[in-house]
Amino acid sequence: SKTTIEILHAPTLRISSATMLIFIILLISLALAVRVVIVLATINKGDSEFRQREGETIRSHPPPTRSSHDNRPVKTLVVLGSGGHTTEMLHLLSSFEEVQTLNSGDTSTSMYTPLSYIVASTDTTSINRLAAFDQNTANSSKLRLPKHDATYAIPRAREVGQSYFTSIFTTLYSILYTANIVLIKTRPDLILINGPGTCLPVALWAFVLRVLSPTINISGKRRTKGKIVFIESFCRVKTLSLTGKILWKLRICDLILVHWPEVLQLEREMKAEQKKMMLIDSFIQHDGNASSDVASSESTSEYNASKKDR
Amino acid sequence: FPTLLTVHKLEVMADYMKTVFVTVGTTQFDSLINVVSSVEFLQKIALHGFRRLVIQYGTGAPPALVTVIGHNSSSGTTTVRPTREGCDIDISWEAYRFKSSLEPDMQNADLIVSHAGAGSIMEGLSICKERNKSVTGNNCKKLVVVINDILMNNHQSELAEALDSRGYLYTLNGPLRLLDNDVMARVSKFIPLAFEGGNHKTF
Repeated sequence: SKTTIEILHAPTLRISSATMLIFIILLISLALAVRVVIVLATINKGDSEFRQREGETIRSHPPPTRSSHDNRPVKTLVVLGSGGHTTEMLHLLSSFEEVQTLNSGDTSTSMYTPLSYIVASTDTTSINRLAAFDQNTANSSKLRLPKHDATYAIPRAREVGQSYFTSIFTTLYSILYTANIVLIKTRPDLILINGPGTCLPVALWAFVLRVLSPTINISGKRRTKGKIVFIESFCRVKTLSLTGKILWKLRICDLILVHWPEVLQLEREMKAEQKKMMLIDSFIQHDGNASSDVASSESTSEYNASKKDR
Repeated sequence: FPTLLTVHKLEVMADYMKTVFVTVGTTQFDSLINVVSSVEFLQKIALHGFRRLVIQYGTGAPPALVTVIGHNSSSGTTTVRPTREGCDIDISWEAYRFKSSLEPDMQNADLIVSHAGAGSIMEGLSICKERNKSVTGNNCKKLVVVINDILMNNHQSELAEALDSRGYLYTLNGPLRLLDNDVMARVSKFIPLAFEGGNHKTF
């Protein structure tokens, strides 16, 4: 008689590829979440340590020279953070009017085009200011903005007093709405932000865009999308704002611009990546001798003594 | 509130009256408004030749002519008592909440007393610089910034202090400093540096 030999297979674990993908995404999200929690917990740790040091000479790096190979226009997305943030950003953008595109020789076109704005849907002040610039009616003698393409209004994540339960959904909606603008509708080469915290979702999606974007475009030249530049507020003389600190520690910005030497020194002491934070003199110019601008303990006491005499 | 109307012999120019302009932007800064509308402050500025006071009081309470009684440091409130009419200090004054542009009032003022808001500071510095191109000496236009001493974590004062240490404006640590004995004298001797602003093209 024949003996039937049964071959017992080890039970196989079958996982669909979709499940695998979800699992991987969850793992990465968990890792990111843990990192964010650690960053937030230590975010203010460095400030008091710095206070005890003497001022040192600081130098800001010269601005990176534009690559001679890439003269294509830069698709730009600007976040207007309302109030003083909008004021500062518009002032900075007014310098774009004078930048030539190297290719065409047409001096009236900014190379940062098409230029789109993101505002909060409730920020009617900023929306009105943009409209006034379009019609050349507001302060037209002082600031001229480059031509802009579209303005996107993002719904608020949460209204004051809204229940925390429904806030989950409105926040999620707001985040996904932002993702749609960054990843699908605009896909900018460059994103400009200057706070406040409401610009963080835009920055995070821009980072995703950068990770996902193809780095070789059709003409064969490499072009990475989703570059992020954060400009700190002019009012931050001694430290970065909380938004700035978060962005600096998360390392997702290509460039962080500050206006005061002390901020530059404080933050660059902490991190090895020194080239990514630079001093700009758009609002105030500092002496070449940077040590005279740093509020070391020595110059502070001199200042107090001289103030009594004044 | 009582308005003290004055009739003056003309100064250098027709309609010119040495003017103090107080601004708090869009904030509420009642302790400053109380101090600048007090008898004591009016006396001090009158001594230094000021004849007009314009107050932009933002979202706070409108000013009334008062006498300063005291100051509570922990709550930051300045206690005042209304003054009866008949106070005969020679100063005319007006007050309003907001205007679409504060520039004309800043242009007409000889002394600007401002809260520590960046917008007000930068606007004040720019106007001082323009006017001081043709005026020299102690009569130049100047900006005094009063820091709100009750705001927690007052990073706003960083900008005012940084600009003060560079000689562009004069900061005071709180509204009551305006009433210190020597402050107005020192302010009148203060000659600010012209704020040249930034390099517009850098960005």
